[in-house]
Amino acid sequence: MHRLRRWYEDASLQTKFALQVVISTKLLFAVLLALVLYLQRQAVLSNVEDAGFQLVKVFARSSVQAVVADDYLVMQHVVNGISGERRILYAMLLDENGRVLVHTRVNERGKIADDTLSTGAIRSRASLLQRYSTPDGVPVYDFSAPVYVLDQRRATARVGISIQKELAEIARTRNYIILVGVVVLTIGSVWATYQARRITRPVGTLVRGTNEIARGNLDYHIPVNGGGELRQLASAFNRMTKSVQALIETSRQLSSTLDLDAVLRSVAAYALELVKADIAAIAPYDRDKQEARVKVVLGGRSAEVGDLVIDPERGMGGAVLRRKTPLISANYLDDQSIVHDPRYDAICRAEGVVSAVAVPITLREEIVGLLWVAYRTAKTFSPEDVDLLERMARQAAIAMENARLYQELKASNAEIVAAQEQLVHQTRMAAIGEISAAVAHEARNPLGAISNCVQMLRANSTLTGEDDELLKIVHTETQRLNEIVSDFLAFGRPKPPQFQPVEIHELVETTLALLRRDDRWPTAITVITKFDPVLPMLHADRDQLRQVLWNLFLNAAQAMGDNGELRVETSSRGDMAEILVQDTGPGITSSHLPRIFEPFFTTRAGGTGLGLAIVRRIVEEHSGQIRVDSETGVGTCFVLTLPIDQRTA
Amino acid sequence: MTPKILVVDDEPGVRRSLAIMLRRDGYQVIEAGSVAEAVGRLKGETFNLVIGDLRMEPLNGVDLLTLARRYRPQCRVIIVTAFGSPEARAECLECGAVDFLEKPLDAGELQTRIQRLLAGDGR
Repeated sequence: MHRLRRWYEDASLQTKFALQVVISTKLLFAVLLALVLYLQRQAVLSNVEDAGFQLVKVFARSSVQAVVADDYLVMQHVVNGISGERRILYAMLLDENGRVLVHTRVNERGKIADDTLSTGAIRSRASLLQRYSTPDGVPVYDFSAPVYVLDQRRATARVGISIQKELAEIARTRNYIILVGVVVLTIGSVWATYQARRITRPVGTLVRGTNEIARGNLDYHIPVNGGGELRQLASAFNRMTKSVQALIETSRQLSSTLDLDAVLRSVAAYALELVKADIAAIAPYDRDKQEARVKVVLGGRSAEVGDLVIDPERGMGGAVLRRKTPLISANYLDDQSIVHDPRYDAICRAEGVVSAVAVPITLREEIVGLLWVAYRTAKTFSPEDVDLLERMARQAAIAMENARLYQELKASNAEIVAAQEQLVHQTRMAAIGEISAAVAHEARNPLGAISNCVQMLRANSTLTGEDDELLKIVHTETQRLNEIVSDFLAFGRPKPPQFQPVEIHELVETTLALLRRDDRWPTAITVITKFDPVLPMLHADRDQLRQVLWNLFLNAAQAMGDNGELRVETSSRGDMAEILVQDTGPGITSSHLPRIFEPFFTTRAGGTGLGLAIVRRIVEEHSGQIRVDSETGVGTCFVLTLPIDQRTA
Repeated sequence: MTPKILVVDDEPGVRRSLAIMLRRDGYQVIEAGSVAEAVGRLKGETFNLVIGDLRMEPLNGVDLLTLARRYRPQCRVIIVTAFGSPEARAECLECGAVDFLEKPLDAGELQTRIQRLLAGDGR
């Protein structure tokens, strides 16, 4: 029993349904069958009874005269007339003592009938029906009626009728009904099973769908067919699956990228998709600036919506920023509960916005952005829509935070890499500088000897013509070599500045004078100086500063070639002096400009590429700055900023 | 007839000293301070030999080779340089240089090479 019950509980809905239908129809059929059989039996048997009573009464009345006259022949005649019918088993007349007066079986006459049936019949004052079966099993109805002669009972008439035929007929009818019933029930059961299947099929589909979805197959779509509740259920289920899928897909998509713009774009796209809206906008909230700025707009008619700052006091976004809960407006432009801002209203009017919802994107109770979704039609947002958007906003918050952290990480990583590169570069440069300085240092001694010899030879020279020229070449080239060596030494083994008050104008003039005597100085160059007459002394190393000016002036002159204008200006800027060195040379191409201060970077065939590197290093060691401005075909301008000597100022 | 040599170098010291040396060896020497100047000379007269520096501005030794071949296909050019790399050497020989020498030049070596080159030109 228990097992059966368990089986029933585990059985499919279809089985239960079919079982219920079959059992109930069978029960109904059984009750009906019993009722029909009973009624039929009653009807048949009461017919038999009526006929029997009538027969026995007729028999009794017809026998009256014969009994009075003791006319056995007539009696026999009556009895024989009755027994002509096949169903009549017997007919007899008994006198009041039970003696058989006449009987369908002639040999029974004269016998005393003392069996219970006969006794019952004789004793009964009215007509009587007694039921019994013969020893060979034939069911018999025994009807009896008293024969009165002038109110005196003289005899009893008895007729035995077999009801075998009637019972057989009843049985046949019953069998027919059962047969028909079984056929009908079988058809009915099949039909019921089929119907059960048909009705429960959508439930089965639903169950399969649920299992599929539970297994993670969110692409499974439950076919919506049939009608009524199941159809609604399937649609609701599909809707739910789609929402779940959209949410999962959203979070998957959102977490698949660490690019903030891409994240925002996907959030907006999914917001549109989830609630089938027309426009969606996202404004990430900047905690430092305390403002939300619209970054992404999808579905907008114009690009103007972008780059809009959300005022925390105004509009739907403002309200949401303050309250941190979603806000729905069924008719934004006429919504009196919103603090309207002409800027937002103009945009919404241009976009044809009717209803809108603003949802906060929060992370750990903090607003990280705003999601705003709108319809251009009079559709309203349901609580489910808002719920869906909120759930998506939570995903979006995480993705936005991840993207933000990633960007921070990337930036700091880039800083570290840059610092590392800088360090490596500096180390390498220091090593190169050290090596070149060592070589330069060693070269200085032989160079010094050559220089001394050449100077002595030239002082007492008897050489003429080409020989004199050759000696002169030796002298100039030695000088050049010395400069190269000095550059390498200055770069490789920089000396710390020996600060002293330096009169810059005097230094500029001295340097220019020295340069004019140099062979490399083009004579056709015009030098224009414009000095600030009240410029105080500089706080600088005089020799190093002269090196700076020398390098800048010579560079300018060599760039201009045979003719051009070198302009040197000074001015004061608070605690600093500004020295401007401008030439009218060919200029530096923009691709070279960022590299000109790099050591060994040169565009000139004869240059070491150290001049400007030394200039920058010296300026920086003086806590000054150097910047350059150049335009090809126009010229180049270097601007030095150096500190003023505070003691003499 | 005295062989005529064109010396091309934008560094006056190098150019002058080389010119004086070659003159003392008995050649007729013409100097040019740039490739442009050299090409101007090449257009007007024939030289038995051109000796040019590789690193010059704005046009360099390779340009000199190309231009010399355009105007004087028969002219021989020796390229000298202070920055001799195998690649530069290959490039110059590819462009038609008859020789590629590194600075500083050895006077004896240079004389031998020039003599060998100009042997057929008669003196």
